Amino acid sequence: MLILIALGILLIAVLARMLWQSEPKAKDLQLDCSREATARFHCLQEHDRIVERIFGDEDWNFLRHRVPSEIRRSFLKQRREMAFCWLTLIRVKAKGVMHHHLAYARSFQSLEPVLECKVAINYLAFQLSCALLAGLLWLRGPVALRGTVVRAHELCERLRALTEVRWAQTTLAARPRS
Amino acid sequence: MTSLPSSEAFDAALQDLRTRTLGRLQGDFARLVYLASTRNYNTGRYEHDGLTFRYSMPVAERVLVTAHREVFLRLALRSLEALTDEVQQYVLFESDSPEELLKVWTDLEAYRILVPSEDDPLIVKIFRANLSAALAIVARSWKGDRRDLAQQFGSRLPSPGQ
Repeated sequence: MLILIALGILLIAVLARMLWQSEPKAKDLQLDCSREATARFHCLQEHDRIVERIFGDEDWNFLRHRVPSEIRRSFLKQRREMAFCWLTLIRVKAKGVMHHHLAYARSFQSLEPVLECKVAINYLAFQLSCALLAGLLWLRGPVALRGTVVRAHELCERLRALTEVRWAQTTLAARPRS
Repeated sequence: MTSLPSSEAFDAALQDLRTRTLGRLQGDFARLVYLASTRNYNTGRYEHDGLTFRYSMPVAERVLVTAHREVFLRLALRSLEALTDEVQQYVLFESDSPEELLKVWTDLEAYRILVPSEDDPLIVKIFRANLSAALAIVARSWKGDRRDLAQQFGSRLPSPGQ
């Protein structure tokens, strides 16, 4: 019994470590996940179509019975790289939003606890969603993960919307009264 | 050369390029290949004698950059199936020897030059991955078609004894 528990703990520890290591680093991806790329990511009109291409199953279903196995493997490997790059970009975007929010919150005298709690919970949910996505990507690749990706992106957008409330308040407070 | 203000000249030149040149090409893939070929490989600048003559060099260059990006985005974010159809159409209509074209494109990865120089790296990566897969699919289906044709016509040929 004790051996089983020890094995279980060991397994959890190994999985947690793998999940931790799965966090992508831009330099490992051989893709430009730099600040400029992130800036472009912010204003990408084509975001939904990019997500559809990387995480949808349409392309994979079309390809899988038409090419030899080495091309299938290469296709999946490239899709996985792109998926991790997308994850890096969205994480950098959310981190940037939080950084700005904290800077504004520090300079703002009357904080709204409810709003701050909402922002914190949202950021936590976003980070959990990203960790889940990284784990799923590591375990089974990006194909057919569109639902999880859309949820992570929605959380990021909600976070941005919440912090924009704070920025609007700060701007209004700083405006001289006529 | 026309003496229109620059924004009007740009719109007119873009329309001109779309209707007179791009509209005559069969499919977006052929348009992309054409637009990429107007870029000088040494300088990276776009050159088009007709547009430069009618408008000006800066307008012609801006128009070609815009059109290249437009066609590229349209194609890069299309499904693999649609892209494969485009490639198939290009191979059939634009080449005298499809087998050679497919071999060169696959071996030399000539499609790398089709990408506009300042596009999003993620979109470029999607395009290259999908195009490489599309070429493999087209090459296989081309070989299959040839084999079918050879079997079909081979059986009708008279045997050496006849």
